[in-house]
Amino acid sequence: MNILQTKGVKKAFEKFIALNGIDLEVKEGEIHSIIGPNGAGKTTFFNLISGKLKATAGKIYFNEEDITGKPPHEIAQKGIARTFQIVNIFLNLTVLENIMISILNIRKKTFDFFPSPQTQNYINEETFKILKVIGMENQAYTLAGKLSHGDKKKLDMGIGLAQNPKILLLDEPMAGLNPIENQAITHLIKKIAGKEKVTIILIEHDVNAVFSISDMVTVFHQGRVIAEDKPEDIRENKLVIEAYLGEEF
Amino acid sequence: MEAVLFIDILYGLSRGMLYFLMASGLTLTFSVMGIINFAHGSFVMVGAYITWSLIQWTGVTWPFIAFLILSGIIVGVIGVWIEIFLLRRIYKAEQLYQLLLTFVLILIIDGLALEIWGGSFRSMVLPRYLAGGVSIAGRPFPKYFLFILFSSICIAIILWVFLYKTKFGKVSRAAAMDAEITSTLGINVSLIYCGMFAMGVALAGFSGGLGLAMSCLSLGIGANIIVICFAIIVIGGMGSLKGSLIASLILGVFESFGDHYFPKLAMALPFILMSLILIIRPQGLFGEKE
Amino acid sequence: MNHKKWQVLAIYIFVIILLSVFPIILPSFGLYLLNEILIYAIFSYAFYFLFSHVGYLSFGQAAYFAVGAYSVALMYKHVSSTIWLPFLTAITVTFIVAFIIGYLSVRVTKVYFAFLTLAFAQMIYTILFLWQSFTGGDDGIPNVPRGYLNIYFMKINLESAHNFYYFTLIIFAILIFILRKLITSYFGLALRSIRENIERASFVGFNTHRYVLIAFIISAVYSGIAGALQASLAKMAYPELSYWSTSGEPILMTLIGGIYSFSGPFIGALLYIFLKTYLMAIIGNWVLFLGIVLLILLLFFRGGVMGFFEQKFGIEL
Repeated sequence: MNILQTKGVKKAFEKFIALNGIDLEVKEGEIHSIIGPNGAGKTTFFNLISGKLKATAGKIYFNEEDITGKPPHEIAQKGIARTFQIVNIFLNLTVLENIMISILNIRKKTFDFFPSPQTQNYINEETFKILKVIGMENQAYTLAGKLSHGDKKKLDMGIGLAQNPKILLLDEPMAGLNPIENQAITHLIKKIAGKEKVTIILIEHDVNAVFSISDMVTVFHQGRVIAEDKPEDIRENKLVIEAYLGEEF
Repeated sequence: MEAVLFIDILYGLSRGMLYFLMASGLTLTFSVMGIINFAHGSFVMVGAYITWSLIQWTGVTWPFIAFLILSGIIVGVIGVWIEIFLLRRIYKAEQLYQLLLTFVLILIIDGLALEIWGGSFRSMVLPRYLAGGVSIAGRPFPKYFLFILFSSICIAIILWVFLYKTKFGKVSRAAAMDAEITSTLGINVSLIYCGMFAMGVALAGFSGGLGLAMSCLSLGIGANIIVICFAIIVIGGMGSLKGSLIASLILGVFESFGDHYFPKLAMALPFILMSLILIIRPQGLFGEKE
Repeated sequence: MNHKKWQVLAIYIFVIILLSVFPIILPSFGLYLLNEILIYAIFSYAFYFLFSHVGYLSFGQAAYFAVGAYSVALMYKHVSSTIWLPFLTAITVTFIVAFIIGYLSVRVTKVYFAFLTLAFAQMIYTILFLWQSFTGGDDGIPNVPRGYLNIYFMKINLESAHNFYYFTLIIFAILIFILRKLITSYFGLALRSIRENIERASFVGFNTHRYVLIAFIISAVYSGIAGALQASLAKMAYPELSYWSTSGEPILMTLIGGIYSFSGPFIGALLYIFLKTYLMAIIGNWVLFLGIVLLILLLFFRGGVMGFFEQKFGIEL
């Protein structure tokens, strides 16, 4: 079943056409990666799906429902969460609070001014569950701004995960990480997809990581899809190689 | 009947151009630096006081426009000083603290003005060649308003040439769009900010002197002025100079008709227009959508 | 974390007791001042809530202060002599005005928002000034009575300075308690996340406009209650209550007391009103003096008086 489908999605910034007709299908439960040279339109694509930008043309369907042009908070509430290329967390709140915010919203408890002990326990439990998945229970009371870069990225993912999403959009989760942190994130992504059964759409430059975990890979180049296949087959694809190497000439 | 209409419109245009000069400085500082200078009205007031003082000292011996230009320059220099020693410290902090700073500046500028000029009302005597009226379409029209119209248009043209034809102007507009990228091109963005702020307040000072003859000068006028500038910027669109021009002219003409036919309402006119725009088109006539 | 909660509660109760006891030893002028301090503290808390916990700067809370004041003044003059109806009217009218202005204002960026709030406040000033038949125009509404407080069988005359002081104190205590609850609740956390990163908050699923609007209305209603109390205390309402300089006072007080501390607005109101009363006679140019003090605070002591103490002694009030 297609959990996400885009048809002819275009995005133009006045004269500059960032996306020129993207048709994409993502199956439920898969890890679907989007790769391509810089400026290919990958983040713009995420921005369209998550509601940050409005598509100039085309449609986006989530579970057969048309979500084109809806505002970010509505899309988030329907079940699509995203992380950001440049770490976008709540720096002056603790790690615990960062996650709890997400949980409070999804469980609709923000207006509960006199939460019963059961509610409080429930919220705390759910928060710690997520902290456990991302391996940060011991840093619960650390201020997010004081975390290492790798931990901030993990927290970013945690906030998205805490939204209990059906789709998690990960925008370059491995950017700026050292090999150890990189492995940890890769492992985390696999865990989220497997155990938590979240569909993952991933933008990444680390091609090795992408090929090792993805079920499907789509290649963007200059606003268009130039290839879409299983990882093994993308490796051999002439167009893809040209797109990447072509940059060097 | 047509003559009356024409006169009203002419009044409105002069007034509108004066408003534009006042508001343009605010629009410029916002579009380039992203801060709203709440003390802008105080700068207008200071310009008016400086013009008054210059005239007191020298008698009306120089051409009137020289006083205005000199006031503008003096206020501009004050602006440079303020930008370097005060605003710059706060750029790194959040924008909201910059706003608070400009709010506090109102107190400081008004306080200093009280020290220097005292609290009594001032008024100005126009030089002979600018006083009195001329006959337009068979009706009397004050010469001074023609002077306002003429000099404002000149300044506006100079401003346009500066922003669109000179290197500094083009670079400033680039910095307005994206300061980070502009600085990577090797351009000294701090210098641009300083220059733009100075220019903005210089315009304010000039327009203060220009408007001096139209009413009494006292310490409280800064507030009325900033309010009108606010309304103009909301109506025209934040950061759009073209928007400020159109909005100023519209407001000037509407107020002129208002004065003639509904005097009581004239005071509320800026807000009525402002509210309408906010409901119908929140980004202003020429503003950019979020 | 619970330990801290009891600490704060203890301090709160202590302060309330102190404030209850003072009137016995103060001369009538001092009582008036203290009363005013409480009122302006409420006004400052309104600003503090919106700025420190949601990150939105409002330069126009004088609008709601004035609306509250005029509501009470007009209700007393034309309708009722007990206190409930005028105050309820003040709250209701302030709520409605804030809803309209807030709805239009929260859709824009924080900087534009600050700007808009000021413009709207001046608009209300203009309306109050011009609508002479209803609001009394430039003269305002003089001789506002304080009315009676009817509880069960008791009829307490609020004209007495002592009675009105305790009335103010009780309202103050209740409002501060509610605010504290709001801040420490899940709702408060949601607001802080909006303050920290409004973009991310919306991507997490918060309808940020709605949350900011709610906070804005709460802030406005607090200002309106303060205005209602002020009109009763000073026994008059006039257009300047809506002027931008009135909007500036809670900002200045909170800056002085400490923008990051819960006790900041109260301490700020205390210091400001004391200083203003006793120094204004000595210092000729009060406006300049105030401006310089605030400039120094903004540049070097952004945490205000409480911020300074907290840094030195490591406590958090």
